[in-house]
Amino acid sequence: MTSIETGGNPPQHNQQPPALSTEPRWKRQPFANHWRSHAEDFDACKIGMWLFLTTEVLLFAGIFVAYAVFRMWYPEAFANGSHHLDVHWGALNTVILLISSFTVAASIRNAQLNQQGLLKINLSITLVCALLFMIIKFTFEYAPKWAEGKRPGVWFSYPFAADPNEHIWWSLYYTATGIHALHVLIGAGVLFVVLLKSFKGWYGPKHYTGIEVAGLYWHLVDVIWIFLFPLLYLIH
Amino acid sequence: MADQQHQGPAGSPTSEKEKLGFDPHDPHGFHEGEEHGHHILSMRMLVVILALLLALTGLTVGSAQAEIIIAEELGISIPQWVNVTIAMTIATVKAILVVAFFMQLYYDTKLNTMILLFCLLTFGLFIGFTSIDMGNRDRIYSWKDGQHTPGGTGGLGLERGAFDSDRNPRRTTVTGPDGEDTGRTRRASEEVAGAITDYSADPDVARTRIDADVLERLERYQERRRAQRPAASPNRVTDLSSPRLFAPPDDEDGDGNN
Repeated sequence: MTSIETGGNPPQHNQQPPALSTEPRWKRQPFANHWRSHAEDFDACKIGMWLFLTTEVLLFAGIFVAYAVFRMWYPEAFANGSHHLDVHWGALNTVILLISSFTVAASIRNAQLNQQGLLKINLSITLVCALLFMIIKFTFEYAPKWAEGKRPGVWFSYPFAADPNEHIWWSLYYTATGIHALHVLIGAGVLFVVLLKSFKGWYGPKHYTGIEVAGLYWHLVDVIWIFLFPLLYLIH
Repeated sequence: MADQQHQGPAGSPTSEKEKLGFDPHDPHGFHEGEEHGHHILSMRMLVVILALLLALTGLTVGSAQAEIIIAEELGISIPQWVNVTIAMTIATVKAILVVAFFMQLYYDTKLNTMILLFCLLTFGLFIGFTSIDMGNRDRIYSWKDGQHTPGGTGGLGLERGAFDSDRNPRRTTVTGPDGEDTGRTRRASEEVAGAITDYSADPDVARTRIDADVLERLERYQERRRAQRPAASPNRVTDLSSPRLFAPPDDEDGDGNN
């Protein structure tokens, strides 16, 4: 225990044993000195994450309100635009995201029960699901639509549009799904870091704040899609 | 469970606690409810939640498809609000399942639930008041018809005759390019929006219209100012060509010099 690590203070009760310890990382994981226990550290992290998630919800709230307003103004444009989306890809992406949410929830359980192998498998499945989601989104949804001229705003050049305001629908579609896809990428990045750390033995019983917080973010991405899917794909 | 090292250096914590009646290292009892954040969901529970979520996804897709089939096969057109209500109800149930169990909010501290509910309250205010505004503009404008000039909304619903005597938006049938009946109707406000688009497409017409509008407003403004103006004093010069304005009073020959 060097005095640099403890900021010049004498070693505290929660300092980790010497680095050469053979204990797994999660057993000698320290928590900050201003907490009484790991539990308080964990709860504080979770409250912070929930506060952050509220800002995320309010970010998407703007998009949902824009959807409501433009749908009230141009119902025909929205009905026509929605017909160009393929329900099958949307439903498949919904299933993929639900399964990935399940694997994240299962990986938290694995950490709680110290099932290190299953933990890595479940996190890997989640990342594969994120990759599948993005591949479907870009290959089968964005690319063909963009090529046909179904583009947002001033780039809209689809010659067979049935409604003069259809570009508004496409603007909203690309904004909503694009920001959601960005969240999928960020969530996958965070979960990738969590997976790398799980290989270093960071997570175990009562020491899984990282998975819990990354998982909360991932579930929020899932919840947003749960609402975007019917609003975009299932209206007529 | 508190860390063993945290029980303090002096003696057995249990006996000390019994002697004092409280734990001197944790006088507020922060550690007593420590386990709440560490609920372990059973695998069976997780699988049941996933199965429910997948089933509800199937249900919402199925109900949307059923609406198309009913409309095409039986010719019964289900009102749009039914479809929207079903889809949004199923989405809400799915979201509650994810939030309560996958995100473990059901087992979590109540503070996190309150944070989320407060966020949803602000979201409700946002979308609620916006919807009240947007959904009632037709009525408000018909009530105020004639008091407004077309402004920031591009003249939506502002023109006279956009509403019938019951204050409902007047709808006209939309004809196709060859004059055929398309079976669709649209509100007068949409015609107005279209008219404005056409009108700005022809810059000459637009300029004429705008010039005429500006001149008319200017005239009205000047009239009002004239009416408000106090009676002219005998000393006031109203005729701009009067030599009194520019020439000194004793300028006899009118060349500007004395």
